[in-house]
Amino acid sequence: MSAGWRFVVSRARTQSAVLLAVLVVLVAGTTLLGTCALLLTTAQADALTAALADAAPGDVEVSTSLDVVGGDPATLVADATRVIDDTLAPLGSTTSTWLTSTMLSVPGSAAEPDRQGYLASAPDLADHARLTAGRWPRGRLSDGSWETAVPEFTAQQLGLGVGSRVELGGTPGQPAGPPVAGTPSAVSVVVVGTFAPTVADAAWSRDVLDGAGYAPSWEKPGTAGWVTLPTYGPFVVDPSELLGAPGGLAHLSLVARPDLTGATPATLGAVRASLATASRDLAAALSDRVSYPSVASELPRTLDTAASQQRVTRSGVLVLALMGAALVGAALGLAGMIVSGRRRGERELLIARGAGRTQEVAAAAGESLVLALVSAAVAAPLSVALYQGLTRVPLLAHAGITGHAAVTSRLVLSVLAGSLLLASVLVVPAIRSADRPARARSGLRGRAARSGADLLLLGLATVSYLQLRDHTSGQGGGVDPVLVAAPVLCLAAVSVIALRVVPWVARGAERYARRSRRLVVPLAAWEVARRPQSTVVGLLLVLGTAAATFGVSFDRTWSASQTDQADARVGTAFSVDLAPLPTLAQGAALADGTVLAGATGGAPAPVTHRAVGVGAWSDSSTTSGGTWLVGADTTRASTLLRGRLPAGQTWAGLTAGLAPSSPVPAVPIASDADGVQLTITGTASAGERPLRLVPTVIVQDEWGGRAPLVGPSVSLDGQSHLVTVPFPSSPRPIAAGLTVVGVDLRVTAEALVDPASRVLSTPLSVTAEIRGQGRQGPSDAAQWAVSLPTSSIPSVTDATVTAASENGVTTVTTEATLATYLLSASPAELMLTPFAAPQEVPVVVSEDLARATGSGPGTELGLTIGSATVRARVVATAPYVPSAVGHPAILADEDLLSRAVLTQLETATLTDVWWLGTDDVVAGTAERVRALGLGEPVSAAATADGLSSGPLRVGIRVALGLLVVAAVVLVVAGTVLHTVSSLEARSVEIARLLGIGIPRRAVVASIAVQHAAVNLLVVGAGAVAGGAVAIVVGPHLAVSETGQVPVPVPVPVMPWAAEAVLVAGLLVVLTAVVVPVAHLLVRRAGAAHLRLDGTS
Amino acid sequence: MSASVEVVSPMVSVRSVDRTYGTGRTAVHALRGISFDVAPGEMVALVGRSGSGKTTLLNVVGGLDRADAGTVRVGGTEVTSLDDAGLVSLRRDMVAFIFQTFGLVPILSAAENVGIPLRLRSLPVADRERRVRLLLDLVGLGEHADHRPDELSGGQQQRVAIARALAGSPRLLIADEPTGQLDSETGLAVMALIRAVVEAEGMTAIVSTHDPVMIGLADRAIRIVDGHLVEP
Repeated sequence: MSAGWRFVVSRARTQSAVLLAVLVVLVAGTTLLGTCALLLTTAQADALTAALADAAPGDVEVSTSLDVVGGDPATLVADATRVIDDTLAPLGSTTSTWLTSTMLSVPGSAAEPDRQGYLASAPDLADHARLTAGRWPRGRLSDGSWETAVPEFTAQQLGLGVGSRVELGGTPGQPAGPPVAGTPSAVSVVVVGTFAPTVADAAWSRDVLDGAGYAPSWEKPGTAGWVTLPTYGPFVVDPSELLGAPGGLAHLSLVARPDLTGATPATLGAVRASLATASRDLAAALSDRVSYPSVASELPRTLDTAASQQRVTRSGVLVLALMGAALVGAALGLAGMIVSGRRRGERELLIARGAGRTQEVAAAAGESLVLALVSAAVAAPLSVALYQGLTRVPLLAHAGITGHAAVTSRLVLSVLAGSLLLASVLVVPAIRSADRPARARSGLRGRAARSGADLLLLGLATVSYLQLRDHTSGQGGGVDPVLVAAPVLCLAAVSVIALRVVPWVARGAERYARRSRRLVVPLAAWEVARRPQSTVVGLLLVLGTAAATFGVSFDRTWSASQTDQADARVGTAFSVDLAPLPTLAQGAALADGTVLAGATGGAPAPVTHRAVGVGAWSDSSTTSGGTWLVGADTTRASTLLRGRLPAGQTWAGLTAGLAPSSPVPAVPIASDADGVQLTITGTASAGERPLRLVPTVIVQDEWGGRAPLVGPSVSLDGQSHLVTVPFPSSPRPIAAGLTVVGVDLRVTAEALVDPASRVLSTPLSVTAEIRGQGRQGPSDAAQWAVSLPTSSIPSVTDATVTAASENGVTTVTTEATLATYLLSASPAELMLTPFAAPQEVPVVVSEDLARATGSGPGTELGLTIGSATVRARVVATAPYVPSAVGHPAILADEDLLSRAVLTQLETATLTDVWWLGTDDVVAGTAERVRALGLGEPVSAAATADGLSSGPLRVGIRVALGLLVVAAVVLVVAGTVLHTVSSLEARSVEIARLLGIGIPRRAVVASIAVQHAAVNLLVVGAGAVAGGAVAIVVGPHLAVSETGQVPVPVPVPVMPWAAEAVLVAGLLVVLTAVVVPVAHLLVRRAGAAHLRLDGTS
Repeated sequence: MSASVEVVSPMVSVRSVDRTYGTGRTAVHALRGISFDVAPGEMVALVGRSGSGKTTLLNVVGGLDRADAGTVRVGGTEVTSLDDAGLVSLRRDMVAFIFQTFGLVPILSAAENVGIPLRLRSLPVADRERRVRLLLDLVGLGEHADHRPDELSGGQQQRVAIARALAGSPRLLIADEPTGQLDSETGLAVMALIRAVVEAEGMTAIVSTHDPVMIGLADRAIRIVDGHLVEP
């Protein structure tokens, strides 16, 4: 062992207590960094796994769709499955197969002479439907016919039951004869069961009719859509039958769900790469046996989103880790200064004996190296233990972050690097003390240097803040340097500036001391004002308090921003999104409102939420996804619409005037009815054959939702036809509250109109009797209006309407002229409504749409909604439209919007989403709605919780908590160290004070007052600094989950009560720490210390 | 006719005082059976080499330290039986110390240092400032009232310490090597000042020193060697 090491070891033995204190601080700091490293690595990996495990199936599944052209079906399915399995091979997957046959003719009836149906097969169909009678098909019967199961609604429409036999086959719509090439031979199926498709099951989107069981008009094969037929299905058969029928398979759908439980970034990357070429691989594998093969998956987008969130979270955690490192650095600087002070005499002796600067620094560096190594060895397992402890905190545990962490080489390297970095601070006092004589800086030069450093730091902080303010994150997987650097620099700069202000404030204490006749407080005041306070301890206290204050405030700002973002994103308190789900039966939305109201006890509101066209303007942005239209009941805006607006604005105020002045005078339906009863009487013909009319009743439910119910076609032969349009099936009676708000009349020809008939037009007369409740309905017959197509060559002209209402029967008669020659191209259509067509729809537009289109209050916009073009007029602009954040968007009143669309002959329901307002959401609402299978429930509260405490986001909050705790601990520890060292340094002086007759009690009191005052100043300065950074910088740090500026723009939140408790608690703890230390040291001060004063 | 004899009680009476630091083989016997008296108004020089026990004896007399055995009376008060509060009162009202290293509070000006004993008595501010000025003028530092210790020479600092000692109007002045850190000329001046003040104020003083010149200024000298009092 060299002399230098012997000296270091010997010195360490004699100064073991103080070195132990330094080691404790170093270990604490290194452990903090190690834990942050685990939060940045292990926790992020866990978070990704947890997030993917919680992801909706549609976000991770891989869907394959293809039309079959030829080849052996079984081989084709096997080949397609192999391609998908190979694509997902690194993860493993489970695959669901759905087979659909070509269209087959279904025996006709008098009303529907030509109709078609299809076979389908899916091994896992039982998971997506409920048997209502019989059993699932198993294969063939002994007579060679195939067993089949059909949807209950299909069975009702076709009059089938268990045991019914149906002959399917041939080309639909053609006279009986041999089957056309490429279609299967006729097949006889026997119904062995009926089933009800599971509501809200996305699997039914793979069905031709989305599980509806019936479509009044579906494309007839081979006619390119020019000819449509009533279509029924699926006739579910055993998979082996369909795969064994060459030419019978028309469509194959494969959905593979990857197993993400053990996913790693490497395997996910491999799958992502495979998915990019999957469509090509599939096409190559199946070659000319299929057409339109495609492989689609949201998994890459889901991974991109997750990566973006992780990037933002990593940046946030790194910010807080750096703040923690700065704090630990300050604490170690203090510890180093104390050690240096203890060694002043020793150093002077060594210098007197010829020791050089290099030797002194080398000894300090060697000692720091040993401390760093010891610290790293201890901190690595401690980091794992602390991390595992943190994962038991509900915040992390609920997010699915497991405590599976181990001392890995990466952790050891991280901890070692952090420990060495922190320990290097301990060398600084040695360098400074060795350097001081050489530099011989004057006080003036020192102050100038410090001021220059302060200004430099302030300048850097200002520049970084300006960058942060203008910053919007780019994409990528790394850490955002602007997000990381700016807050740390700002906090450090403001803390340093605040520290420089403290002495100026303290000097005010001198004036009090001079005027006082007593000693204790004036002595403390003099100490505060004149005793050179340690810059390092001051910096530690200011920085620590600032970090803690910042942490508390930023946590609230961040959380409030997540809540604001969730409110704006969901748009309301609770939303049930119907969009991703297939429509199982016509008018199903009518039942949804009633069921939803029954389940929640609230008043659901139907909402339109879809992309629309706006005049000739198109959004060139690749990310916004077009212009979104949100239609909601604006008369309930105050409770229905959510999302923070700028001060002084409310949604109720912004949307005032959007709603129509009075409700629709609709025709109420008898509460015990099972459908809408119409009596249609009409005359119209093309040539010798009477035309047919398909009535569509627009029904409105109690909550304002409107949906079309298509009735069977009737002949316009002058006879009265009683038609019952059935309500959709519902677990609850839905007739109560239903009203009729319109009747659409679609006139079709039974066959192509023969041009040779030379009949160009014909008069049309239709009378529709709507049987409502037994009493006189509220409908005012005089208000009924007729709307016609707006095309340049209208198929209907000269329409008039008359109406009368008596004994609950509303009779509406319309007279018009039909252009029969146009019937070959499309049906003629009229819409009868108990309201006039709105001239325009007043709307509120988002500011980005207003900017993009140059619109403002008064501007007219043309909105394309389905086949309708609605004239809208802008009455106001808003920063955003609820539920359409990130899109140019338009907000309108749902009722008026629906009226405008209906009078444009667009009958499709506008209800995309159901909303529940703030007053209607109670505990358990989401669970009940999910159990009912109405759609995907989304609540603002749950969304906010996911944004702030979701697996990919929770790291920030945990790191914030760690920062606050670490700051408090380091501030208290630093105060103890500093108090002990400073009072020990003053022990002789204290003994003198006692010697001149000052009571011990007074000396202790004076010290306590002095420290309390200093603490008050520095803690106060730190609180102001932290608060200022939280207010100025915090909102810019609270970026969205993708790193963008959130909507709405965050506002700083200062939790005054929490901050007051924090600051008061710190002051109390710090003072409580000082008093016993001062008491102990004052008691020790006495004659012995006076003897140290150099006397004999 | 009977003659009356006026018996003057000593200001300081020390009887059989022992003081030992530590125990066992490492025990240091600082004072062993010390006994002596100091008459009121008398200035006594306590002479001895470094480590002889001078400071320990002064601390015991002034109530900064406690004797293991024996009694000490100051102005009729038995110091050795006083509790902590009594000792504080003793130091505040009866005894004043002057230390070798001056004992000034470094962050206070000369005037503020001198004012400390007066603040202990909660003297009105005006009275305090007047007395401080008087005392600083007395020690010749009236123009240095606002200077801090590090702005004064050693002699000046010790004169401030003397003024502070006098501020509380003590009956006993204890000076522990008051010239130990001063050059001989300054030391002589300080010693002369102490001598003058003691005479002017009628105080009793015990001054430890090993400087023969300083000893000459005292009324008498007592010598201490290894904790024992010996005749000079």
